[in-house]
Amino acid sequence: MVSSARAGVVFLYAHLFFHALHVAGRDPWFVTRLSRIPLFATCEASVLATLFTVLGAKLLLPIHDKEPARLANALLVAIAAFTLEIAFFP
Amino acid sequence: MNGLGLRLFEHIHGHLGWLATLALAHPALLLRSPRRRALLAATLATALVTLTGIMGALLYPAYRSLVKPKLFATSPAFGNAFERKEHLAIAVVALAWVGLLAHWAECRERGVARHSSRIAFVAYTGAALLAFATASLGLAVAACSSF
Repeated sequence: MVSSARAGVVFLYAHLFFHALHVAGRDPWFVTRLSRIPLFATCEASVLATLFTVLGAKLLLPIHDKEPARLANALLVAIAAFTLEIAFFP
Repeated sequence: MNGLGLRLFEHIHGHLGWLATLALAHPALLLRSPRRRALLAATLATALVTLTGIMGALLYPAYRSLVKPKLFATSPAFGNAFERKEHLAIAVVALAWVGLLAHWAECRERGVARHSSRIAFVAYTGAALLAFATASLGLAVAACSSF
């Protein structure tokens, strides 16, 4: 449950980050190599970033008692941030 | 796929998109109550939104080559609306899966139920709202330009 919520938050922020780089015309080289279509490349890079981050966090970080409650709020903030970025920078 | 096939596929994708939007609202409403179980509704809604997303991903390369240049030439606002829709749709699929996994865990692990039910509620509510925006933008763009 904690891992799925962590994955959701990390995925939204990763997508937000890679999309911001794409809008700025500064796609990292490894992202451009994932797919010729920028939308797919951004999505694939976000999935990879999520997998590495969530698996790393699962191995290295113990789950704090209050983390599930904080993750719900973090997910809410991530959804809002993602929506705002896509609304203003499509 | 020829033009007729693409148009038919696009229509099915659009109708499934609206159905998926309604389907996502179901677990979002049910999971307002932390004690409520909605595993079947959550699973079916997530499956439907995933199928719609896969269809959209299959259509996207043809859209980029056949529709996007024409759409941006005639109406950049609608072109940007479609780009917004695509990103929002990705978030919808991701949030639906977060909600399903959190709700699944809630049904298994009673000890963390209160917090995981809030995660599932936030994820499904976000997915339903973004799905509504996605479907609305898709409908507006489809009315403007199509295959």
